Amino acid sequence: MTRRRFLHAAGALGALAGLRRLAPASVSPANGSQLIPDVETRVVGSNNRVELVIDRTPFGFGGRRGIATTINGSVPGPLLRFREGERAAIHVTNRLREDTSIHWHGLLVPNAMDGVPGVNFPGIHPGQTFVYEFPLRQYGTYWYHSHSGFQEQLGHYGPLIIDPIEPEPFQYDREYVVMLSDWSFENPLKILDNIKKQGSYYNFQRRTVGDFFRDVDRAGLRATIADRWEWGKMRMSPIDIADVTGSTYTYLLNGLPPASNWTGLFRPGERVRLRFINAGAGSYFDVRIPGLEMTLVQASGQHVQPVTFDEFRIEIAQTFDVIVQPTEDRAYTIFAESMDRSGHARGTLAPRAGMSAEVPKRRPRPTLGMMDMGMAMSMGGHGGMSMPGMDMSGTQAPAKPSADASMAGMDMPTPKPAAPAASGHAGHDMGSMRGMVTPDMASSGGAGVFEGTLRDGTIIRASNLRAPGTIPEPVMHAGSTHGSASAGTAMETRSRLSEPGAGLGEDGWRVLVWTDVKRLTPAATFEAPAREIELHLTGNMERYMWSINGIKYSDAPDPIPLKHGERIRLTIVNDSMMAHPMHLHGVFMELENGHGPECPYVHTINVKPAERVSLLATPVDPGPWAFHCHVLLHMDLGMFRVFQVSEPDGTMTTSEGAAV
Amino acid sequence: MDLDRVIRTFVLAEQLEVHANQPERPVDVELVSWIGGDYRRLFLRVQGEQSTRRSGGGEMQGDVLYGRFIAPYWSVVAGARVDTRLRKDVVSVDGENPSNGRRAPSARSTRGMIAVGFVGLAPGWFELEPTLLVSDKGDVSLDLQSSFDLLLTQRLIVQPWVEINAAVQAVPEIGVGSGLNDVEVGARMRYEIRRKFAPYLGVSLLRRTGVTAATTHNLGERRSVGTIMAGLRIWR
Repeated sequence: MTRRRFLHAAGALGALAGLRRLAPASVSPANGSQLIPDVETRVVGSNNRVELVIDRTPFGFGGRRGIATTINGSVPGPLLRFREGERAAIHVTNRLREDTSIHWHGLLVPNAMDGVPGVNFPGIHPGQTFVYEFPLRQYGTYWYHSHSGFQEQLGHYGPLIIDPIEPEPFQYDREYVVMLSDWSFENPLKILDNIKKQGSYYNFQRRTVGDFFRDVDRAGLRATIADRWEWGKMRMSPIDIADVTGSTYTYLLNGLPPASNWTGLFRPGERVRLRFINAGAGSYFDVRIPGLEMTLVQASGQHVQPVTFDEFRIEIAQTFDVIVQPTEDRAYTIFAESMDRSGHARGTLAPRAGMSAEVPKRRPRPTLGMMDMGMAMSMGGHGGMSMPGMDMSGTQAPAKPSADASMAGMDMPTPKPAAPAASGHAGHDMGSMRGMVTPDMASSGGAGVFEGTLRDGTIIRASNLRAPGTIPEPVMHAGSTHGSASAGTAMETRSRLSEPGAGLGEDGWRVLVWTDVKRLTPAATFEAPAREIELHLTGNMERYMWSINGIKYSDAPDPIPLKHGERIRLTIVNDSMMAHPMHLHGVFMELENGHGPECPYVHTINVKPAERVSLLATPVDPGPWAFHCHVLLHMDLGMFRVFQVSEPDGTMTTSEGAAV
Repeated sequence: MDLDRVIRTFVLAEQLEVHANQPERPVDVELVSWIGGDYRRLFLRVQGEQSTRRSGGGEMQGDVLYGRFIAPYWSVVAGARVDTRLRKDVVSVDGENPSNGRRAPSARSTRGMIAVGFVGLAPGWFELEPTLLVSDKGDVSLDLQSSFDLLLTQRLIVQPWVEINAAVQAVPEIGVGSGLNDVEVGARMRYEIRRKFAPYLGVSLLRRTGVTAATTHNLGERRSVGTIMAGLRIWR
């Protein structure tokens, strides 16, 4: 079947990612059950052997045609479904004219199976078949995607589910994968070229003269001029929410544009599990289903204590499993607005095929506030900047004093005062540090634990670390501002896990925030970190440069050394004005959101502008692991590092193909 | 990966325009371009004006500058400028009788200059290109250009600009006096049919001052020149 016919059929009949396993028999036959094998490859051959073929396939909608990079001919690729405790054998054949790869996002696999060309393996060359084989050591909702070039933007991604051995602590009657993504008919290389030459190329929501006068009406002339000057001084724009927008992207839900209206069926009263996956190359989505509340049961594939809300923002590469219970015999819209409000993806939950509900209007695009710039403290003195009533108010509102947030604060064992070195960049003197660190030094452990600054500007601390599971204190940025690659270093960074994020939380309904999320079962042992590794996310929108510590990956080839089994705290500080979904391969991270042993596991965490996020991890799988921003362009331009985990005996091994 | 190391080429025809109300009906071209990566770029700027009337002359100015990205919004640049003026006719004081007029400085004059300066974005989103020039004869002058984008709508954009020329020493041959020579202010209003393709209409006012004004006045040029222009702004 051609992709076009498949799309058409799926769009009309729904159940693109519908799973028969849990669906009553009455749903499937009349709804094109012959389609389902196309998306469900749970049983391919035997012993969890799966064949995947990467190829170029015509893809289009709305009368426009393009060429997608597909997995077994579809976008998204097939749903892979395994069971925890078993072994997967996935044969990937490359029919492209360029190298390809698959990375299993969030899966704990042996290093050589992680699929990052230049880090873990040389990539899959044209015509070659690579066999990924690994044990399934976890349960949950994940996804997989290319780690080569721009293939992910071109459709090379798919959902992946691992059913747990243990019964799940929640019930549901049926389930759907809801995979959100973004598609452009423009060549991604062209998109990058355009944005490199004009940062605002795709932004058609910039502030105009009209906005100026509207702000004057609301906030007064003086305040408006002061606001414009504050931003103008920084040569930044408070509407820099997304680099690539709906002006070229069409937002897809399970591979379908809004007009195709993907539909998942339910019978009133049933509990429906929705496995949300954000496979966007550059888009965050704000998801709600008007008329239904959602209960989070898994985040990053791991069980969490149920928390109920009306809307959530799904960061790029994140997965959230929610349960909804539609009781009425009517259709409900799954509405996923892009964070910058330049477009939306949409689907429907309905008792019968062919139904649809009202599609909400998109809200106005959010405006960043000075808090997003890490200017909160310094603004205290300038009365002119409070700007009451301006559209920035939403994002400027201080963290909501929600029960969870305040609890989070109270839970904290009294944090030790931040060590002097903690205030940013004492000793960020690259020249004098050059050549100072070798992997053995950092991995030698014991008495000689390395403390200082790596050549690439990464700060390592081994003393005066605060208690595990606590929220970082606000810290004023000191010392280096990371050079010309970094524009507008945040003066003060702090935790923003209790904030929903720019443009959310002002609509009078409940919005999920990370301080609401707790692991289902508290950690049996919850060790304090032995070392803290602090990295600063940096960028310069004027030249569209992205880096870590002001240094692009291509200028920072040394891996950051980690010792096998050591307890580390990874502190990520966002010194840029855009949000970055940061992903560390090869290990689960415990997000320090104030809940101690109940801190949730994550594989990806969004870091808001001017935010300081810390995570605990205990890497055990040896080898080089990628750490990067999951905005594809940011990663490709240099917001990328490698963490090298030593062997249990302390030695470092480099896997083949590690030379970039 | 390593997409950050790609050498890119940017060519912007900032101006490609006809000066509709000038008797010479000059065509004016300004190209701004660079080639390079994130930190090191070669900047090329070409500015030229050519009369479309038989009597008219023209002038062209070209810069080749090597730039280093030294601060978040600033490149420091250094290179050379070549300034060529071409006059086909001798111009009279009153514009009526060429034989009454003084001689024009020369039919063709070319100056080579060393140029150093900055290319960047000043607080308030002002594009700023201050350039210090030292000619082959040791004359020092300063050229300052600044512009700004004002969005009426997402596609209708007004771009006011200012250009200031000043010199330390007078160079009478080409009508340059010492001190502030001239100030030109203007605005172009473009409509971005596409980001890279925008027709525009504009106005400008050139005001010559001091010695320059007197010199050029003697050459038959007015102290103040108002221009109405129409053109295209394109880039790739």
